[in-house]
Amino acid sequence: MIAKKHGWNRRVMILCMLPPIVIYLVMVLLPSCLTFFYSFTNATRTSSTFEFVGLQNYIDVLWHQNARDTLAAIKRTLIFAIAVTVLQNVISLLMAVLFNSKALKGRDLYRAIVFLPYVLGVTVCCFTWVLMMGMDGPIMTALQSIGIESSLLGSKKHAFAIVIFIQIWMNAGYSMVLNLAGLQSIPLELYEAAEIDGAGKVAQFFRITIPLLWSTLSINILLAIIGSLGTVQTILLTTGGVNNTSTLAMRIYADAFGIGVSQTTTTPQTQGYAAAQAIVLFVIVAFFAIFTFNALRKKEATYE
Amino acid sequence: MKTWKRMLALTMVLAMALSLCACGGKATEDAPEAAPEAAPEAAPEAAPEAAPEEKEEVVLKMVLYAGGTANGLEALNKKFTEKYPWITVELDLVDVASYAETRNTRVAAKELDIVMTDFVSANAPDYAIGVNPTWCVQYVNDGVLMDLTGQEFLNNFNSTFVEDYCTYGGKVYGVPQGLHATNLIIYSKAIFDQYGLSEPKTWDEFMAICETLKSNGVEPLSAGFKDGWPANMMWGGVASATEDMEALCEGLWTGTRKWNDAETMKIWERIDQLSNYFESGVTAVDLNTLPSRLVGGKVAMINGATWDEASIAAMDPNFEYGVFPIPGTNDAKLFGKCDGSVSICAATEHPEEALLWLEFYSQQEIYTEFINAAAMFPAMDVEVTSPMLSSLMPYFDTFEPHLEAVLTLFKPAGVGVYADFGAISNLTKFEGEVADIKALADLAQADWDDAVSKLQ
Repeated sequence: MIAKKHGWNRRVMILCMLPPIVIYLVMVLLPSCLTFFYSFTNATRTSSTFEFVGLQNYIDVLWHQNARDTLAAIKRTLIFAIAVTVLQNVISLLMAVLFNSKALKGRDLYRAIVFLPYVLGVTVCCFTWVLMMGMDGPIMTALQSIGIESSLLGSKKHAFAIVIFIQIWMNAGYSMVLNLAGLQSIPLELYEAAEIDGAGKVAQFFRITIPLLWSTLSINILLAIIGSLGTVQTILLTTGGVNNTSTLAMRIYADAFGIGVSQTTTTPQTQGYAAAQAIVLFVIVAFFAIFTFNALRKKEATYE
Repeated sequence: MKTWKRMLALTMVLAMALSLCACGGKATEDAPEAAPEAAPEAAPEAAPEAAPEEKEEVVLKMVLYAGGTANGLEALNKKFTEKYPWITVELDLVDVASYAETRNTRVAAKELDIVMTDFVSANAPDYAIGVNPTWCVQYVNDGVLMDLTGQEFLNNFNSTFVEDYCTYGGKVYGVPQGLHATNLIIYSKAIFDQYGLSEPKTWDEFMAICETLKSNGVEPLSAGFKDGWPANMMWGGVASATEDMEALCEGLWTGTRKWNDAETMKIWERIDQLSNYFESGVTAVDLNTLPSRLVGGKVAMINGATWDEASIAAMDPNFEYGVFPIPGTNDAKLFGKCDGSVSICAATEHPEEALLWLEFYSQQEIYTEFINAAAMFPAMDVEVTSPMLSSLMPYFDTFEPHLEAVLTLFKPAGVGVYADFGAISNLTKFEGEVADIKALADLAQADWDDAVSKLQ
């Protein structure tokens, strides 16, 4: 009877897992495999027929494109990912600790305010900042009043840093909520015991909070790395990829859909070419994701 | 109970599987068919006389970005439906940034009947080796566009326009829209009157006006540099006023000219001179907000184009402005682009109605209203009534509609960012990283040489 029950449970489990597995296979794995396949073809946006072109798309990406510009795009991609990952996680962790304190009045309101940009969505957030930082917008006017001259999102010097800031501003709330959930699972007795042993707040933070929150932080860090390496919307909606803000993901998007800075004959503007760029980006993302994942796992093991 | 559980689980799985099927589209059903070899032999010459109730309701779909051309099309579509009540034209307007993506996606999904195309740069000259095909050439190669060769309504347009801007590989794929001049300086009459200024005829007079305005605390000039490519417009305006742009372009390709030779440096130096008179923070101004800088009195002049007429009128119909082409060494002339063509998607389910629409568009009376609403110089001999076009008509015979062909598109594959006429925004004056104009010209030539050497 028990065996039969277990058999039934296994069947239910498999049936329940089947839909997400199918969705994953159809929506994620299959397109990913097709991207690799298309990277060896001359497929375009508007034709269902294509021919194999061997490594031509990779030659176009890695040889024909100006090396300085390609390296600059890779450099920007890495800077974007590292800056967003580090700053977003540090800020969201500090906010989570602060807003988890019962001594703080109105903490629910603060949590809601910080989480709000994530709820509003990329489009609303980006247009808000574009208006705020536009010509005669409040931020530019305020900066001019104290003698700082900058075109902000129109400036080749400052636009990229501002895009990074907007990306962090939008997503810090989400990371904070994950951290809050992790913080609330830490038993208060541990802090009470530490206090009795004479540990200060800083020691408690590094000896109790960080180790016990590490699995949540690991997820946050991985999500931030993968998300930031593939960011397109924030760049597209704030600068359109001009003013030295175009990352590899943005270049792929521009070439695949024929928009923005690459709407010229300097790139082939085919799906095949864009797919080859996507594979190059995938290699970079995979390298960083695996490297980070292993580093986080090792650190997690030392806390266990 | 067990049976219930099994049925429940099965139902859930089926429901989820069904939802997946619903998301799957109809790829097989929509499998592309070969593009028609040729369009129907002739477009209907007159409106069908049948009563509307006898006709099946037809919707023709188009997509465009908001602005002058869209204004002209909306009025045209309204008249078209008045004449052919069973045909409705749905013109979806999207923002400029997402227009190309939307158009490409909807063309691929076969959800457009009429599409705006651009064959200006489709036929690359022989010397331009390693130029990737433009998106319109891809459309032709992919069988997206209907072949319109031989259609009678094409005869309504000046043949040069049809041959130069609507033809590829010997076949005609569209009817022309019109010409936009992009080397214009649009100025506030009130500010010019206040300082006793008049339209300049030479470069030196132009610089003197800028200096007068600046010395009186007035920001002389603005441009839509935030969008990147409008910097090309300014370079093209100054360059075309200084020398023959087609000769320069061919010289760069054949190696007889350099980006940093003495002749080209004259253009760069004028650009450098002009850059002293742009308003502070000009790289934060995009093309959409540019007219508001002029109408709002923030600057005395903008580097604009004929398409700004509709925007200025929408902001303040009573705003008084004048317009002149950027003056140079020789007599001032117009420089700009043919703003593409109008084509029919080969996959349309309503080819006869789409041809009816093109035939209607091509009628002299209808086309006249369209180009005046869109403020474009016409591709057939019709009367121009738009205020901006009218004031520029004395220059019309000098029009060089090669902006995109010369400046933007005919570049070797993979060329670096400095070998671009829009690269002036890399100067430190525009918050870029290149210190001076000579260094920028040297970088441009280095990028050009690098790209061309890889093609050999």
